[in-house]
Amino acid sequence: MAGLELLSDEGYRVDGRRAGELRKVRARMGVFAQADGSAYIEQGNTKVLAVVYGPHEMRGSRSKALHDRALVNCQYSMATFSTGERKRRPHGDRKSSEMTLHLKQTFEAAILTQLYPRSQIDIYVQVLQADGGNYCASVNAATLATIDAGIPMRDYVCASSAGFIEDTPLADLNYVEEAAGGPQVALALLPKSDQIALLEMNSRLHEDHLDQVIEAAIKACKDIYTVLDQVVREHVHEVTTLLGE
Amino acid sequence: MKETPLSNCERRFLLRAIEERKRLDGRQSYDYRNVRISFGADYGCCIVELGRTKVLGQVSCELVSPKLNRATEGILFFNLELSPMASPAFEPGRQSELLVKLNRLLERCLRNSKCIDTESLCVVAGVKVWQIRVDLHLLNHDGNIIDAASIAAIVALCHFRRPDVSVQGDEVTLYTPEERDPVPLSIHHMPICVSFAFFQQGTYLLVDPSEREERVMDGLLVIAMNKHREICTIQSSGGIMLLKDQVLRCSKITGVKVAEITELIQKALENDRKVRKEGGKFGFAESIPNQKISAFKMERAPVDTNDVEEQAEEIITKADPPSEVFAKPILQTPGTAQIGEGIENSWGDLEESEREEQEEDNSDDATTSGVQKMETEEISGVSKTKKEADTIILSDSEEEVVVVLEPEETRKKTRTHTSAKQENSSSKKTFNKKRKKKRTTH
Amino acid sequence: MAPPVRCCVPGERLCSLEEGAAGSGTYTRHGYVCASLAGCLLKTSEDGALPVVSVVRDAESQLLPDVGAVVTCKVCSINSRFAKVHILYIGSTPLKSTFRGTIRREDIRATEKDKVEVYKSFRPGDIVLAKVISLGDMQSNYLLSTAENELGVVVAHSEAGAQMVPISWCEMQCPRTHSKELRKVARVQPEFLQT
Repeated sequence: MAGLELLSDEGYRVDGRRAGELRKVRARMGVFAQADGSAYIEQGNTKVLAVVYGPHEMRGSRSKALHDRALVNCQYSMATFSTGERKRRPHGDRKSSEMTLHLKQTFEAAILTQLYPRSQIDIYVQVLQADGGNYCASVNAATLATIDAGIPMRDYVCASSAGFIEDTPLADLNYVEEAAGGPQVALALLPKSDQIALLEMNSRLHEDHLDQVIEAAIKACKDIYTVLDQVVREHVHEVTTLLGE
Repeated sequence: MKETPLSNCERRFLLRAIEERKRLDGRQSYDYRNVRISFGADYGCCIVELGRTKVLGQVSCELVSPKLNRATEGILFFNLELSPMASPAFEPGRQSELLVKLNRLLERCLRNSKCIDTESLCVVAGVKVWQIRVDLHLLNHDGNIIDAASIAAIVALCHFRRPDVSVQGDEVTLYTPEERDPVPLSIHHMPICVSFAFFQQGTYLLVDPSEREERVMDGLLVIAMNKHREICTIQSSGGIMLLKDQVLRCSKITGVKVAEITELIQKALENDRKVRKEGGKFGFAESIPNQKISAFKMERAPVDTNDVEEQAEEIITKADPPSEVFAKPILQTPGTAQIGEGIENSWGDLEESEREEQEEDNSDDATTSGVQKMETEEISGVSKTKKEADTIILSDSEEEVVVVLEPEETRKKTRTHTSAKQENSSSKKTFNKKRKKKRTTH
Repeated sequence: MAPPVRCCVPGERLCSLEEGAAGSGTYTRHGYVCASLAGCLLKTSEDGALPVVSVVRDAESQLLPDVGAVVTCKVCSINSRFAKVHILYIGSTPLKSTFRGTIRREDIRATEKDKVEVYKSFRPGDIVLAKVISLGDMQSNYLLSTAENELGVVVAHSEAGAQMVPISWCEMQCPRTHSKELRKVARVQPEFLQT
């Protein structure tokens, strides 16, 4: 894209952020009464809703039940109005199926599924507005919803994307930076133990720069962790003071 | 058809072997299986064999109108098919998770990394562009589909020649292969996927997992790189927790492997080009090696046999000596012999005749166990008895004589082949005798 | 009045294994007890043993029936071989969504199992106390058993519609029509009865 500088000479990106700066994160837990757990997160202009049901009895085919663990059932869908052009298929196409699989894989690693044999935990994620970092915002929203539902987890799962432009790693890419076609890394991390639950990279990146980019992504995940942690603590405080325990 | 579940002891065996850094086919942890690339008669058709995993790749092209938002770029389309031919676990029609995962990985590896110059596929901007379609079919599943598929895709793309086009003003002329030589695609670089399988929560790492290893693995990490050490795709799957230095280590290993494989690909392409230029025979018929139906050829797996003798000596000295010494065989009647006394049976009171039968049965058991222990004295002893049994008269029973249908000659021939087979036939004979005896009331 | 409640979040390190034992809502990792829920920290100190550290939430998280748990269920259909039930309570906690369970014919009574008739033990609509004997496999739901004196029908309605009174371990009588109906009655402990 000629004429569009992703990183200016002074070090500012298209939306005025610095290289390692995250977008503004606003989150709320317990938005729905019907679901066991729910959360809403806004990362810049990306808005994602997540809802968690469970653990409950296996619905559908009982043959898929695992005898010693709970089954995590995810669905990722993008609203038809979420992107610039109207999406014809909200879910079921290859990209959404891939995102669903990644979400499932991430949360199966984080949730203590051994405590609920032969049951099912449902995680539904709906993207209301997509402005880059859809997967990462979905993971963050699903983490908050799972905590709200009271399902025991090993640790938070925080996700962030990172890119690499002109020898500088960028954190938390928005849509413009993603569409430019440079290398992008999406990373889901368990912050306390520094374990990577999911690592995904697209486009060409030289091996020598891999370390830097992953470092930038890990740092961004830890920043998101502090924000989410604050949100959770406030919510727990609110709830306990309301109940007067 | 549902996949047969892996038994617990097989799983344990594989995991234990991996802990001791041993693999079923004798490879090291970071070794690839043999990669063999063969080309078809047409341009753009190839079969890649990674060990026993076989993938067929075919590239075809078509002139279409371009996408609205990308008017000057050609279209690339990738498709991987998993048919039941590869493994009975794949069912036709249903789009399974594995299929989605593999297809997306291939798409990201080949399309997003811009290995093919799509601008060069444009014929008339906004009107006509080339649509390149890569179809991959898995012919045999023996683990690590993604590596084989990525090699097949890139080799097929390198091998492919598209028809030449020339544009004069508004006229577009498409030349057939006879008029003008077809033109190869412009490929910037060759991304190759390398898979790493993790076991025991990331403690052990294997490159190029076979099908059995894939079943017991915790998770998979796929890194796609080209020979300039540029990473094209990384994908972790399966719910393993990685650490950053594990990922960096894997990327270093990938660099080495990709260099080797790229060299192999270049050599194969070069060979094919030479053969075609010289007018020699090419195509699948030539590249499939001569395989006779009666011979089952397996690739030689390198096994270290330097210290086999010492190991064998150790085992023999450490092993307990055989519990009983088998006495010389005592010929009772033509056709039966007794070796040893046999074990005391616990059936209680027995009639005289039945005890006789029990003895002979025990001797028979002793001979069978002797054969199974593979002690050479036993085999010679047994064969000795068989030699003495020239006549076919079985026993001194009052019933009619049972004639064994197998003639003498075949028995002599099969003696060296498996003496166990003889034991079965002799036990069958004594069984018949016992049955006949039981029928008569004593 | 109460000491300030300490809130904790999943993944937070609460204490080391020497100082406390892991209770509900926590897990152990690398010799430390870490929280797995977001809630308030609760330390119950037992005499002699280590204090048990647990995390409690305001709302009870979903409980799952475990093998050996006594559950309260409602019979929804019967068959000559088994009775299908909906599990409503586990112990004394109500469930948000019901689980399906099955009481097989041979698990209804402890004695004379083969002479049991399901029609004479349960009827649809009865409230039954049962014990979970198996989580079930691919084909079946939770398997329950009433083969004890304390297990069986606690509340049943007669064909006339009135709630029946138990008269023996196998009979209940309707107070309105005085007709006796056959059920496998539970001998509820006197402390659970409200007079």
